[in-house]
Amino acid sequence: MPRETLLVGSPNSGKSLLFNRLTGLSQKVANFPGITVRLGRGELLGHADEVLIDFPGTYSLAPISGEERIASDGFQAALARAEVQRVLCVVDATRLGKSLSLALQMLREGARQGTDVLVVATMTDAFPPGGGAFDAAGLSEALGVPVFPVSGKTGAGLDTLRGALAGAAGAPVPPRYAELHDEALQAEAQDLMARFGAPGALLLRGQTRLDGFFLHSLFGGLAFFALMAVLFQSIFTWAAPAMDGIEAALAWGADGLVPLLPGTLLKDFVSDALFGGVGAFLVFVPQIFVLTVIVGIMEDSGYMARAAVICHRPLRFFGLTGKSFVPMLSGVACAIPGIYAARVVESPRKRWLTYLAVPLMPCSARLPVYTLLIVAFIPATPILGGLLGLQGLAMVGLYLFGLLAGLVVTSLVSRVAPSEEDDLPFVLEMPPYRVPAWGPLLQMALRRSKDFVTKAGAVIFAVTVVVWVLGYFPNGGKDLGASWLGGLGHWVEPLFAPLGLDWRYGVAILTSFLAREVFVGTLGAIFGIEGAEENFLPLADHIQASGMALPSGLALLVFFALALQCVSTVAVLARESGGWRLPLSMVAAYLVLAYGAAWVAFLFASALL
Amino acid sequence: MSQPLWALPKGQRARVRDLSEALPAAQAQRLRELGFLPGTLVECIHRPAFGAPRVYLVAGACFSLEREMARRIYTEPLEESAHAS
Repeated sequence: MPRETLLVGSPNSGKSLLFNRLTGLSQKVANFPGITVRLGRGELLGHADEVLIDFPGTYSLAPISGEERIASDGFQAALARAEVQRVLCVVDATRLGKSLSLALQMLREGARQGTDVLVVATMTDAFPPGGGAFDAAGLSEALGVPVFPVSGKTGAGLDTLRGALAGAAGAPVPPRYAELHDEALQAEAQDLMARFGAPGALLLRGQTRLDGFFLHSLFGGLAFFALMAVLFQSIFTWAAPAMDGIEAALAWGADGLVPLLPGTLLKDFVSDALFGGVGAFLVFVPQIFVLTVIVGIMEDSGYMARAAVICHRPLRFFGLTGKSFVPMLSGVACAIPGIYAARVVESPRKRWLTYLAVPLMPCSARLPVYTLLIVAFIPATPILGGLLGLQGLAMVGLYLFGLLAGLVVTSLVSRVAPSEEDDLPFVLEMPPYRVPAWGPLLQMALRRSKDFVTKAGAVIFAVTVVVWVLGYFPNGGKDLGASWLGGLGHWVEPLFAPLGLDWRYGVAILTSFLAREVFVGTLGAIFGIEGAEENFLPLADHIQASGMALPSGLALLVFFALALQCVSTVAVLARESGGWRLPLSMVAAYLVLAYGAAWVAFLFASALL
Repeated sequence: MSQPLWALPKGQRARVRDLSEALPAAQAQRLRELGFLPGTLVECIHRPAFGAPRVYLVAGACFSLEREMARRIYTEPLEESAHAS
């Protein structure tokens, strides 16, 4: 049976990076308090019989937030298991003050349960050379347990630590800790801090200067908006070459491969369902990659915590808190990590309101739909002297629309249904600014893109095949309108007629309730069957040729901005909110909202244009 | 003489005196665990405008606290001579 070691520490103490270094796995590392939301589990590099379990960061074993309760309950449960023989407690050597309380609490638990405790002091690389190094030996003597100084960044001290973990279990905790009261514990933490703490002012000078800018009343706000503008523009511009490349490769592949295939049926299937359907969705992977990298840079650099401070007052007006900014921005990449990230919001009510907002954030699954419709309807006219394109501007508009919708919903709900519940005030650690760890960041973006391809891709493939079969038979793709799919489509057509959408779009909308990006695959398959010619055409060209008018395009965009069409989000919401009531009410309410708003948009646009 | 932490001007230091009775027990304990213990030095390092949360340096770490929290931490202003620590 493998021996298990629990890895615990305060948020932002370099714990996840240490876990990755020890196990060789890539746990997501971010420079924002409380990013580890599920337990990580990994084998010590080169020692399969030594298992490390990574707990979410916590300042204390006495929890005040939902996330901390998970960590603290999980820790107590794990400690009771026979396999667990050691606790590895991570303290941040540069900021001992916030780590020592937890370390002493761990020693107390260790003394009571008879579990060994080792202390790891991270970030030792941040100590200025010659300016009084971190006194690990002294701290070890004062605590009565081994203390290992390491740097997750440079790797210094890691070999010694790995060796110690693979070897003997370490020395038992001095029994005196078992009787330590909370007050005595805090006094001891304060005393240790005074003796072994870093010269704070020295380490913080650079941080203070940057904060002077990023938290400045004027420049801080401007920097915030500038960064957001770069984020949204880059999704379009930086990903464009890769997207064009994939599109060209698909066209080349389809034109080269399809004529070689035997039989009309196989030819049609490969060109319509595979290249038309699945291919249409692969084009958007570069955008997801770019988005994940940029959000990752913001988290990793420490800027995210500053953004939360800047946003706190405005978000409070909408019933949220500054901490809701992190789940909401994660929601711009994908609602699922956004909903997990909502655990950093300690107040249950504010967390509930954050859940309402996250699915309205313009997630990357909407991106394929937005891009497709923008390319089909909005000309690529450069504006502001080429600084921004009209298409980029339309995308910014759609993103702002989603954000605004989320804020309007939360401010209405928080005012219509006020609550007597106590709110937890805003307390957030400002982590030091760091240069992002590029390796793990790119790995994570690659993994997210791969997940998108394999998980969403599997669903899209299945749906596309079903749609293709229904559309191709019984007449061999000769007449789409008379196919099984056509029959189904004409049956649902009245539902979408008020938006000026014909049955083909109706079918695509229906399938998109599994996941939004399925819309693109479904349309790709439908137009693939319809298109008589064999060569591959971009889907946007098909849409332009399909006779859909601009008001209907706008209605579609509004519908996709507001509707909650994602089975995975609903499932995660049910798990995190503790029941199906919230997610199912949200699906229904946002569906009504989406359809109503789309209809209004269609009427307005038809009257104006 | 004691004044709430929220009133501390930017760049100035003070010593924590105690925490308000009005703070719920769990929140008070958390503040103590973060380092806001009686006798500890705190410094206000940023005061963004418009009532945004302010940033305080305590025990070598920076925390941003909103008004509701910072006005419940009572501090004693330092004599200039105490700056030596």
